[in-house]
Amino acid sequence: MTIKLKIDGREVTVEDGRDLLSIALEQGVDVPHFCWHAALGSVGACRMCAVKVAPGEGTPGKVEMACMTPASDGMVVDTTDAEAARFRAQVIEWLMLNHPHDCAVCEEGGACHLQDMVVATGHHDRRARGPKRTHRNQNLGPLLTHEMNRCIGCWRCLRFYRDHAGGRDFNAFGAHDRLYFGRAGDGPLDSPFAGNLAEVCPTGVFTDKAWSGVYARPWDLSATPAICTGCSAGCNVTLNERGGTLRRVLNRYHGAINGFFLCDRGRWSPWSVDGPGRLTGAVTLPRVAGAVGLGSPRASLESNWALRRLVGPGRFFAGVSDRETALTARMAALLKASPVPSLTEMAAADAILVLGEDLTATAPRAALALRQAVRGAERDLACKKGVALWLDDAVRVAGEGRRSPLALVTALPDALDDIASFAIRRAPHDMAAFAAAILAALQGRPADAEASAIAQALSTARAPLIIAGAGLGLAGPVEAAASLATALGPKARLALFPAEAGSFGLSLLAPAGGIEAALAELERNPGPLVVLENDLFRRADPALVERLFAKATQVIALDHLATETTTAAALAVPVAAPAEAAGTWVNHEGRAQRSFAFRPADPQAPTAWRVLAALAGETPEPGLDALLEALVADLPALAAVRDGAPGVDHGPVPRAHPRQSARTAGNHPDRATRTDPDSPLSWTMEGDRAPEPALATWTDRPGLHSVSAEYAAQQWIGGPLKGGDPGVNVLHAAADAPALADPPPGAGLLGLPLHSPFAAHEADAASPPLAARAPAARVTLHPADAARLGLTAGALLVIDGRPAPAPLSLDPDLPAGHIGLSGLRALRPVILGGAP
Amino acid sequence: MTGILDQLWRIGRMLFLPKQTRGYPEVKPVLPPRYRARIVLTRDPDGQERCVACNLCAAACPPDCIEVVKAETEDGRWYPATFRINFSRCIFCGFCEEACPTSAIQLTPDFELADYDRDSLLYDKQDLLIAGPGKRPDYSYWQVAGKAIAGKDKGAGENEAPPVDLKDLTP
Amino acid sequence: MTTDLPLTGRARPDRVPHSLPEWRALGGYQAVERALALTPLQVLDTVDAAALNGRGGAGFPAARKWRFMPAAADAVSPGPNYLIVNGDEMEPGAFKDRFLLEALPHQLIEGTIIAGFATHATEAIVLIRDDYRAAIAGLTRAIAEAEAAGLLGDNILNTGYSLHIRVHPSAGRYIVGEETALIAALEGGRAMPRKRPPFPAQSGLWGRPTTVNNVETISHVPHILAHGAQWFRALSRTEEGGTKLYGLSGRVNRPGLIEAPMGTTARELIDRAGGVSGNGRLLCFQPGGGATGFLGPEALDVPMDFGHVAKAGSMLGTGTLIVLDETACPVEVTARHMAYYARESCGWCVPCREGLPWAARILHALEEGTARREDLQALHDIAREASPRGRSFCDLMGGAMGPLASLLSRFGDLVDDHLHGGCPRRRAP
Repeated sequence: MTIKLKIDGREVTVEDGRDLLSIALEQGVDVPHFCWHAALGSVGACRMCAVKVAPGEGTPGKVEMACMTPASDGMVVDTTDAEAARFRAQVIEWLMLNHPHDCAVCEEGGACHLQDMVVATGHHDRRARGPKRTHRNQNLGPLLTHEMNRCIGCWRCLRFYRDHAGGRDFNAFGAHDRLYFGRAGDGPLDSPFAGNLAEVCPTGVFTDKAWSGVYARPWDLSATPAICTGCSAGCNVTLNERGGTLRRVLNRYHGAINGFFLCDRGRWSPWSVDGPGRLTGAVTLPRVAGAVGLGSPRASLESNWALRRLVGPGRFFAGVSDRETALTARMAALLKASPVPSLTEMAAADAILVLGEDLTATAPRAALALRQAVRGAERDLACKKGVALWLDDAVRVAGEGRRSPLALVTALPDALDDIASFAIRRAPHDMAAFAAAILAALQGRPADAEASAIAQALSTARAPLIIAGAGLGLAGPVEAAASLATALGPKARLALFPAEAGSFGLSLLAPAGGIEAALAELERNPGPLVVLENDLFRRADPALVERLFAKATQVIALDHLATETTTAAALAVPVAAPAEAAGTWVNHEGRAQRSFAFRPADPQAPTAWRVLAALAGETPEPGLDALLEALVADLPALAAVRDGAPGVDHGPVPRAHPRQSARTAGNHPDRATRTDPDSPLSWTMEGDRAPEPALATWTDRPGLHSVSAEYAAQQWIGGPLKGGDPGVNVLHAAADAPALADPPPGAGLLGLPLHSPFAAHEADAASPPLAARAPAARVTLHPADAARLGLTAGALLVIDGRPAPAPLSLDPDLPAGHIGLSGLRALRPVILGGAP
Repeated sequence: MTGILDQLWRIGRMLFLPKQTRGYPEVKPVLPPRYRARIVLTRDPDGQERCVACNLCAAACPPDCIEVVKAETEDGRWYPATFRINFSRCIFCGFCEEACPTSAIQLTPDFELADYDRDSLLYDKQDLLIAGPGKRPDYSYWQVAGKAIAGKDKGAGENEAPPVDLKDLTP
Repeated sequence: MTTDLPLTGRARPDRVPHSLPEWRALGGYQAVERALALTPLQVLDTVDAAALNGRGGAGFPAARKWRFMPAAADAVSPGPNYLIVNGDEMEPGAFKDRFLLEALPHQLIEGTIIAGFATHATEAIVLIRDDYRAAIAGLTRAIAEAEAAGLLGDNILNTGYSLHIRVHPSAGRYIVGEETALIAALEGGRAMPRKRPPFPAQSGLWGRPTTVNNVETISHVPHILAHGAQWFRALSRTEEGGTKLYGLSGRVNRPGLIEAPMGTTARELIDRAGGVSGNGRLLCFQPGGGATGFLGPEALDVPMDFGHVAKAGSMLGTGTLIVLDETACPVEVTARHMAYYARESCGWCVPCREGLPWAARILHALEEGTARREDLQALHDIAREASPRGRSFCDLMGGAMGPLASLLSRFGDLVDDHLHGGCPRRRAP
């Protein structure tokens, strides 16, 4: 049902049941506000959004808070009314009573929502006398700064951290003007989404500590749209650069994927690009013929295809195990057959089953979406009680703590246990059997109570969701997930998360197998080995990798990081990091998105596909567009990737900010590279901002410079971007793949991966801020297994011939017969050497 | 005809009027203290450099001839790792001095900056930093900024209350 | 046995509460028997007809609030209804609930059972401020007595109605007296108010239908059921039914509590309290505790009920008067009030959190003589911007603006005089 109301004289027609503030913001009327946030709803704490509201034409108006006022038919809203403006100015004066005079030494300055609001009300002078309230700060770890003097008490941090992200180690202390937000004591925040506090806070209480260490003002930063390469979610980010170095990673809104929030891994992993772990050195590239190529799950589609072109389809393999290669292909084939849910759609599911995947660690942003999904039952009850859904606090109370059912079937206690209706622990090889029990119950056959309850929840749901992934490397849970989704019918959605950001892209290029297959190929037809952007020792059994290297006539490793693989290689060729190269990344939905370079690649470390062309003795294509033409000519099924972003002719679209300073301070801008051959984005200020969201760069506008003002690019608040959310689906290009079965576990110890949201692979370890945050590696055994093997806590083990990354600790939650290992890629048998 | 004579008179009598020529460089001009010429970076009353690398001068500069790069000491004090002004571009408008919140950057009446080599006109911090406080001898930004640095704890500045004790249960 | 002072008539002068047998001998629990023999709707209609206005400060008709509570069959979701009795009396100048809690716990229990019955409640919680130790102990004992005698708990008096009452000492402060903040505190969270709508009857404690009533309100209920709605109405001098437990403090000769017909004038009350002390001449008074605006001698004959006092420009609030004589300084009184409200602000919204401490500082500066005209202008701005309803999140700020706004409008010249050397009352002659 729609209603009509007037805002500043303009008639607007909107759906009934909304608040005035979000309607006004959507209409381009930038009503000042602090505590409202598109993802966190209205709470009415700051009193900043005061506007004059009259129930009808000609009736007297009253000053009301726009965020808390339900819009009604015939309402007349005046945001410029003098009485409302005076109250807003008074609110600012109240906030500025205690706000420190530290803009000059605050990281937020220049993109600060408080600054914008103060300027908007015209406040410029403190007439109050009396000392300003001060606070001591806490050391919140390597990722976030803390300066509590600046707090204006908008409560956004608490609402995001506790209500939205489920964190528990952060709260409000004190009352009245002594309010304080922090932890019980110093230390990093537990939640892997804590980094969003830097964007959610409208002042400089929480800022990006890595950025602060290489600080440049927001108006000096260039902005490049990129895709996060931390996991298969494919979140959109903006990379900020100044003086040729990375300065900050920001969330880039995407209506279907990440919305307003990133995970900490995605926010800080790109810092490896300037870290000490870079592979450097000038190399003369030989001409390579007859090589076997290992593609990478962390390389772009273009780089992987260029390797395939170099070695030929028959000699092109994936740089992971055969099993993972087959599993990834099978996942793509399964998803091809059904509509794949985006993260936003997953957040709307009303019954969810997660089979085996530690989602908070393997695809963190998806876990955050699940936290919102389980609020569905709460929202339904609140709705029945007549509570508007935008009144966030009231919904939480009226919902009486109800949760939409979430069933987690995991090997270990899970980060999502606190919201799960069913927190089920099973050894990895027993998970498929449990899923089979659920299927039996769905089909009316007898099953145990737990499985039956879960089946009941899924079958009565309106939008059930089944999730599995490559986190354990087992096919069982993936096949079972697909069977369950099929059994539930067309209302069900299946989401499968491959191991890494480039896994699906690599799979779509039809590698002829994994590392074992590559080894067999080399045995049949010897030749050199070309390894693309991959530390193989982390992705497979090290003994297998060593056999592979021994079989090759020569090992050439291309990478942006110095790894064990590049050290072992005969020739280590530095290439551009993903952040320094334009490329296409296919996420878990099969959505191909274009990422761009935040700075020109070092001529000594060009984009991998350029290096691969040179290795073939060919001249590389002049730019990415030409390469994509060649790719599409080779694989017509992937034609859609050309539509991922506008081509190079579409420019120039400036990366550099027009207000940047120091242009004539001796940096000789006339010698700087102007155009980017791989994108329409220029390195300079030339051109105009593009309307296409895939090319979105800096987003500030006159008077509104902070991330708090980024609702303007959305079609409606929290909805898709104007021009459509970026990305094109390419999953139809996946080949069919038969069902897979897992080999039986065998008698020995099985290594169980201990995933961490802060450290997925070598690029994360090479990011200094992320490495400082990542938890220490762990090696765990169940006490009974340890006793059986004659081991005690603290023992230093040798695993697969290599020293364990940490002393042994005992964990009664570990399934019997397994050894928990940080950094392990997938479940596989391990050999304990050196144990008594 | 009268026009010509008039002109001859006007111009000719200049021969006999007192000369306005100043004997520079032997005689230096007397300039008012607010004359805008050479830019300097000044120090706090306690001798520490005032500049906090806030970048407002760089932002305000019409020809964008100032480059400032922020660094931070162990105790959290911001200072410029790089401070560079390209005097071949500077127009001596004084906007940087107006913009500066700490009274660090100031313009002085020293106009003798000409050089033969353009690169010599790139002044870095060591060329700009002077020993004294310049025009505002008593102002110390860190005393009013609220942040804690070495020598100025939370609550120890001007107009600051002692830091809130969160464990204090009394109202 | 009817009486002119039903509320306090049975209280012992030393305030020691009665044991259950003593209370029953005085006629106690007959009202409960009578009420439980009716239907909840009949009980509700009786209290409605009695025109009982809530005695917590807002004066909202009690029965109208109860009518929103659904019976189990009509509830949106299954679960309990709650009745909360608000004994968090922390309004400056208010001490009436303390008397009722300490001296007459069984009266409160009776009222709670009847109100619980009318609102279909299965559980009642009496939240008492932690400082009222004697009240907490006495009420706890009385509840145990009543339960043992089958007058409380499961199947009360074999009528099929069950109600459990528990006493909850508050761990919070003034804001816990605000009903939604009280609910938040009971849930174990920070005591911060919640937006209404939704009202507690829709979504209250744990999201369940909840009613919150003041101690005095509940204490009147058994008498209404015992003697009838008309009797209750007739006790009053105005349209608002019953007696009121008024209090007087400040510059009166005999501060204390007086139960009197609703609508008794301030003149009579002050007279019964021994008249104005100090120099004996009334300057002004706050009719309902610290959060109500000053009224002057012209209001001495206004009936002290909610409607008339509101029309006179203030609020009845708790009905505990704070009296100033001509030697007292209203600036000082307002400064004390403002300092209290500033300390008690929960910190949720800006006007209260930031504006009240500033106002308190300015008033203190006025007292000391260090205020400038700019500060006085700022004080006017705060009062003007924060007084209208809806400017702050809850009524704490609005309440605090009561004395401030009336100070500035009624005593403008006196306030102005403070700019020239501080409080004139304190200056050397």
